[in-house]
Amino acid sequence: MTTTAGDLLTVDNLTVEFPTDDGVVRAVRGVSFTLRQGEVLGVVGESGSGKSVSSMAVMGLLPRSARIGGSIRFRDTEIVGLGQRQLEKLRGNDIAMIFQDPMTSLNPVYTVGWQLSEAYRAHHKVSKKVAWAKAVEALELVGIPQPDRRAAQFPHEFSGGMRQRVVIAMAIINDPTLIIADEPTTALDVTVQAQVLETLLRIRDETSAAIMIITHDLGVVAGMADRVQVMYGGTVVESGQVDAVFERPRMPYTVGLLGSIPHPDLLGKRLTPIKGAPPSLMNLPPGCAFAPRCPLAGPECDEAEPELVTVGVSGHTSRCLKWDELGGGDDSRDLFEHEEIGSVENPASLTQADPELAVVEDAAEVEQRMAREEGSTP
Amino acid sequence: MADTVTKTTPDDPDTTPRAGHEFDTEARKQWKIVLRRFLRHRMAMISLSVLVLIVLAAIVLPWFLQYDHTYTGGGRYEDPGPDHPLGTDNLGRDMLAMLVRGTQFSLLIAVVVAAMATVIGVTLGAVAGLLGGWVDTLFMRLVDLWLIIPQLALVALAASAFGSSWYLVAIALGLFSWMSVARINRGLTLSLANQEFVEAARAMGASNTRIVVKHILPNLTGVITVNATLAVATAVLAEAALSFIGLGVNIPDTSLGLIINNNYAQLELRPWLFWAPFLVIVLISLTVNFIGDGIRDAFDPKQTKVRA
Amino acid sequence: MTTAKTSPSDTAPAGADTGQPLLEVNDLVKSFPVRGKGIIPRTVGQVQAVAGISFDLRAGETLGLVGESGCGKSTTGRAILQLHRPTSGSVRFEGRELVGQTARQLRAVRRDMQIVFQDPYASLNPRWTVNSVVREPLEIHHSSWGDKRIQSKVNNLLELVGLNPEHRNRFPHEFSGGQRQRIGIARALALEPKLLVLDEPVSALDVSVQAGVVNLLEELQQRLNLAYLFVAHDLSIVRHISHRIAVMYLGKIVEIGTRDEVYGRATHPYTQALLSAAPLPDPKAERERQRIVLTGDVPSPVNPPSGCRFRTRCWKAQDICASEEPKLEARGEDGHLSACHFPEVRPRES
Ligand SMILES: Nc1ncnc2c1ncn2[C@@H]1O[C@H](COP(=O)(O)OP(=O)(O)OP(=O)(O)O)[C@@H](O)[C@H]1O
Ligand SMILES: Nc1ncnc2c1ncn2[C@@H]1O[C@H](COP(=O)(O)OP(=O)(O)OP(=O)(O)O)[C@@H](O)[C@H]1O
Ligand code: SF4
Ligand SMILES: [Mg+2]
Ligand SMILES: [Mg+2]
Repeated sequence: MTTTAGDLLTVDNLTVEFPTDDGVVRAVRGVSFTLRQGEVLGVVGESGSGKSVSSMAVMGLLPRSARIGGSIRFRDTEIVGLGQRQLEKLRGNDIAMIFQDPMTSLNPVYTVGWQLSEAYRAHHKVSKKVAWAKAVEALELVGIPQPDRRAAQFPHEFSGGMRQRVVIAMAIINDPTLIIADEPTTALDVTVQAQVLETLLRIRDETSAAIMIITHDLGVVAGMADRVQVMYGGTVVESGQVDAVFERPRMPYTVGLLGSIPHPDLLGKRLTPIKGAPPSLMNLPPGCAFAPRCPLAGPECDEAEPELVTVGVSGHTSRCLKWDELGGGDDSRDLFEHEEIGSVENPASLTQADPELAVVEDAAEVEQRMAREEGSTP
Repeated sequence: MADTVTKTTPDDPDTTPRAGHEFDTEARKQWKIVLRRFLRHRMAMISLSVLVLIVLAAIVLPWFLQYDHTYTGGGRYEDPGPDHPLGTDNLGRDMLAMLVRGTQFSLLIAVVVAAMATVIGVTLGAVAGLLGGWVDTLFMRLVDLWLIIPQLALVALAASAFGSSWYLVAIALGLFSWMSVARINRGLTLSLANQEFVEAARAMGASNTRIVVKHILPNLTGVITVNATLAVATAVLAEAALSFIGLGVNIPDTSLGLIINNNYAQLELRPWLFWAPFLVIVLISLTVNFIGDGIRDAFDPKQTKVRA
Repeated sequence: MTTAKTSPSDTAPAGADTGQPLLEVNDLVKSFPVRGKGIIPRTVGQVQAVAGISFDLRAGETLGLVGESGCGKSTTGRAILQLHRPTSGSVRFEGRELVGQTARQLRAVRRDMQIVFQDPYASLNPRWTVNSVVREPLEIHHSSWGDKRIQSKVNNLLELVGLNPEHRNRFPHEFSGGQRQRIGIARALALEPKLLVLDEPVSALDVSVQAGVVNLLEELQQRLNLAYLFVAHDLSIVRHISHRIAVMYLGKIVEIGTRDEVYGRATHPYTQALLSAAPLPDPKAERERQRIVLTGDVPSPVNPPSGCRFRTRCWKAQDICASEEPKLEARGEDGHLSACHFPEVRPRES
């Protein structure tokens, strides 16, 4: 893979294996992608398909038992095989990670404010007081009410969503140039989710940081990402511009994924998951990893793992031999006997914003009025 | 009601995954996994063999030795020779026989003290931490009270009442070494009890006993083993101090600490009298330490050292 | 305090009997002490995480619980199961009062009410293999079954939630987030409880596995007549699985009704704002989506606003909203319960 100007992160043929007592888990196999400055890459895919593990590899955070192959270049630094000390310099300062489980990055025995200010002090030579102020500021940025009081509390006193926001605050406190967010908003309600995603995008606009966001919420990908990468069985099976992939998926797994979304027409009926079980990462199928569950699969699919081939404009690629049988519109949609793909329930349309009531300015005015009233009638 | 949950996806031959990729593994019992991890811990296994050898030697050697510890017939400070491999001490006792006897007593005392400190400390600490409230307050006051009791005076009192013997010393030492263990374990339990997996166990209807034994203790093994190891080392030395002022093991019996105390003046002239018992103490402490590490790592699945 | 009893609904669950509800929650309050700063922290106030909520749940029914992060959904679930002792109020399970029972008395009831925790990693003992985790409830309540039967049940459960046999001997940290979440679900299903509190049970699953789990839950519900309290942020999943939905804001239920009432004819401004904020999995529609932007700080539960708790962020607020607390009562045409002085269904564009 060639590096061009503006490429922030180049991952080339990354593999990660975990030796366990029962055999070798091949968690990531041959993953390659690049991330440019200011770009937002959405990563979606099967639970257990190696999304988190590949992002941990970029952070240099995999457990020691992991065997890593391939190359990960951040700017001009090769991350695979880098020493702990240099990694620590990169981590938190240049690259920040927001973890899937908030409690994995929070220490239960320290206050939230302490942990945030330590994260800041690790890369800035400032007094504890300044760092604390910065910590409170960061908490405010992610929308935690009463940040000064909350900073003095312990993680277990926070609700699940608030813990997650603390983790986000910790990630952005040092203004990183690459933010890896592993399901940053799964614990958040939709209003706070919107707020947090906006915060992330604002940071991107201000610092032109690149964002790699792993999520199961296809709506988040649709609204926020420039490119999307679909993973299955430890490898990338499809990637491309968001519009292209959502509109004309060229890989049966993506089709099935999009078709599993709950849909208003399905109320009172069963959802349509992809049948069958995910592949065992210790004993992968010989050919395409999706073949055992794929409605299109033929004998050629079992021969060898298909290559990632270009299937469309602007870098749309798919790891499927029969990609041209898909994306032709209608016929691909009843692959998994689904309702139309993509025409998903729109809760927003149920409460279509009334222009007179719902605009931001109005709400702000109401606030001011409320403040005045509160002053006069305590 | 039981077993009503069955497979949900209909076994439609067309849609079920094609056979051949199944990969079955046997479910292993938790304790078997821990044991297996321990057995694979190289340092722990080496240490365990050395410790077993020391224990065996302490038990078996007396049968084969020419003299036993009651023998005082040798000359004063004889040099090592075929008759006395490690020489004799100022009372003409055979040093090797003394060493074996001393190892026996020191090990006994160390085991009793470490076991008492661990059992009392961990139990009180975990119970106080888990139950909280007045139980916690009561236990912690007890610890404070216990800390201000002059233990030497109490041991002396007990010794004059029941006569001085090794087990009295061991029990007395054990009774006074659990407090820090209790404190540390209480603190840790307090934070563990707040964690969601303990809550989850409670939600499933687990009793307090089950929670302590199955959930809290396995997560405390790290501190428990560190403290138990420390307790063994301190017990050997504390016993030596007590023996020195005549409260420990009595003549003709002896202990490693006592031997060192008796002979440290000879360090320059006859170094082996000092170094031999010293080496045994170091060996015991070191091996116990490594075994402790092994136990800790075996219980901690995040430790990848033991995985091949 | 008005209670939100079940309103007769068109989407009533098939297997629901008309008799006594399985779970009756009345005026449930849970507050936590707030400690001040200083070397010896003193209690300086109370957070009312749950501030007096009431609802019923029948066998075979699913109640969706949605609301802002930190509004007290998880605390409600925990208080119902007595994992947090409620500050006041009553929780009746099969007619039996749970508040005030001793831990020992509760242990027997626990077999019939289980919970899937929100944070799958925190709720799994890091030193236990998955196999032991899923075995635990069976070992506690079915110790007479014998090893073989328990193990086969465990295998069955793991398969149900889509975990391979190869996963059994692994520890929680060796799993992906979604796999951990499914371990929690398998554990909670092990006892086939009558009431299951599902706190964000599918948030970490990809939509395909999620669809599988949701189908599984629905199937079990139909077969065993289970009742679910389903907490989630994903509004389309809540809509799919719930018969009724309760919307919480700052410790109180602000609107409760059947699925169609809440999704189709919401009258509370907060519900409307929440529904409008759900992202759409379609890039074009998502970019065009209009949403109601709530401004203003989320008020603190330590010091909630007077009157209506939502008024500081509400675009409809009037004087009465500050002076008088709107009761949760039948408002609007279809008569589902809502706590707003100015209930109004928003015009829908189609
Ligand atoms: N330490 C480990 N030892 C063995 N296997 C592991 C380890 N860590 C992860 N795995 C396995 O590697 C695979 C990939 O895990 P990963 O966490 O990347 O999944 P994911 O795509 O992030 O899934 P999810 O969406 O559920 O979070 C999983 O099947 C997991 O079981
Ligand atoms: N143990 C505790 N001690 C003190 N405060 C707590 C405790 N548990 C929860 N709280 C507080 O109670 C409030 C409600 O928390 P809860 O976890 O019920 O929220 P939630 O609705 O589940 O939010 P989320 O969707 O983010 O999980 C929050 O303000 C939280 O900080
Ligand atoms: S009662 Fe008033 S403040 Fe509360 S939601 Fe209704 S209009 Fe808004
Ligand atoms: Mg993950
Ligand atoms: Mg919660």
